[in-house]
Amino acid sequence: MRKLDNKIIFTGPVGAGKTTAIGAISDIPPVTTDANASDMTLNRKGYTTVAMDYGLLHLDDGSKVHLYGTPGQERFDFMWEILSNGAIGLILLLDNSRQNPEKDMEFFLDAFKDMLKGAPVVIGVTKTDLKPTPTAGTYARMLEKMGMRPPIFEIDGRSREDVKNLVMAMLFSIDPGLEG
Amino acid sequence: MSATQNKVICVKTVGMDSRKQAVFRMAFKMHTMQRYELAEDAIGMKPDLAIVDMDCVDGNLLWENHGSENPDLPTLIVSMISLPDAPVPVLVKPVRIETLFPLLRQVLSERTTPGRQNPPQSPPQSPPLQVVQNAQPELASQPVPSSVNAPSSQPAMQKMPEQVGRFDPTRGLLGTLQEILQAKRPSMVMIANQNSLIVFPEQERVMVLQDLTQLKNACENEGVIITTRALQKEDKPDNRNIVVSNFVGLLWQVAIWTSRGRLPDGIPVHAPVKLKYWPNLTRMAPIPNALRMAAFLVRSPSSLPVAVRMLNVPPANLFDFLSAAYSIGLLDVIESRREAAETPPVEPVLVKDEAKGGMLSRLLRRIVGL
Repeated sequence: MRKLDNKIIFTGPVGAGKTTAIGAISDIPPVTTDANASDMTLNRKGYTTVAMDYGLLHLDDGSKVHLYGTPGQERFDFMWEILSNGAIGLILLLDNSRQNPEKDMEFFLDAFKDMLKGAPVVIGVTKTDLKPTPTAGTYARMLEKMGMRPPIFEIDGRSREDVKNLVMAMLFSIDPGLEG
Repeated sequence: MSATQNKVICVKTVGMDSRKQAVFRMAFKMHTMQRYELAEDAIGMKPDLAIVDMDCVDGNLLWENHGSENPDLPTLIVSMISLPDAPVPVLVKPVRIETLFPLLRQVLSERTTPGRQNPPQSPPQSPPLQVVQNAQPELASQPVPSSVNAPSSQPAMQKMPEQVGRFDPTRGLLGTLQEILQAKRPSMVMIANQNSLIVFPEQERVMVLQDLTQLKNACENEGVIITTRALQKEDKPDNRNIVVSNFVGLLWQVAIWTSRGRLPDGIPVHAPVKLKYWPNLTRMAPIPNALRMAAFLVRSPSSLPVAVRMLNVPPANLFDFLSAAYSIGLLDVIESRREAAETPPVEPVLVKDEAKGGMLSRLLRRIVGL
């Protein structure tokens, strides 16, 4: 049986809304390690996460669940494995307005493939108001061909309800009979 | 034409500061089936309904003043506690999108107004579940929108009913929309000879020309005549007065309205069924326990009695979910033994949570309560 470290990992490309999504459900204001964006990142936003984001959920027995957001830039990918070790699950956020979000999805699923051997992934597609396609169904059919059927929802990272749905879908993916 | 039909619905807020208003502003922004706007943002518009927040020091006084000033304005109360004697529906906090909009529709369709009545008395606490169910008795088959994401809260063991209600998914509004989808032809749908929907199946878009309540009524009343015709040049609706919606989302909603706790012909009770993949549940009309049912049925095929027993969900919820998934082509019915034998076994649970007090259960409880 896998040992859990009471943490959930939020990942995805630069600008997908990881920091915002953590902030939507965290009990504390998210701790971020942002820096002015340089190179290609600057085209998408003025600052970006360079180490990680951190949020926290307090449970009713006094224990805590840690919410970690990975830095979006590939050059920080050495952080990803360290962060994801022992995590309850992975929340992958895709920015639909990027040039090739399907490729982003494949990239991140591959980057976390070791983690996903023992933990579920849930996918949230953001910025569908800016670019409605690919739809959630398009991604789901792509994933089906890869032998995966994870939850995949359109979300607004600012909406607590949407982020809650991602986390709950992750928990029910572990055990649909889970009771709260 | 009803007050809600084809227009922006202007919502007056009472007892709310800008922070509380921001919650509703965001909810309205995210709702695509009907446009709502706060009165503060809809300058010059007359409010169509009011939302009164009772959670302030002078909540009762606010209510009295609101009732005397707006006795005929359809009103919804929001409160931290349930108020069973309230003269209008009550939305128990936290505000959930899936609960809010059905109640707003109910308030508008039934025109529940404050009148000149006494303020609702604060009662002993009762679960939000009960309030919502009481507030929308006509939605018995799809009650408790707030539990769409929640774990099953039914203490008693759920069982399959001896008699399963059935409906023909090829008839009525649902059948008409399915035909249009298959034909891939832009069409006008008329309900009782009134232009109601313009459907662009290839773009997966639909323009809703009628109030949603009328669409719902058409699903519930099998006698309503529904016809279609090819789009014509003069079918150019006034863009200010339409709601553009996602066609798949509308199909899902129409299937729920049609199902009302029944199963479509074509889904045998004892044949295993499975989901091809997860529906985009954050953008679909809510069904209680939908996340749990999707998680279960996407893993491996299950017959309906087994699904009810394993998940302990009310069969009506499961039937609504299956109807909706079936309507958008996500449900596979496995009828042959060979096919059943070829289906993969149930994946093992990745992490076993220790009974009800386990960390995952506590996390679920925390997330549901956010």
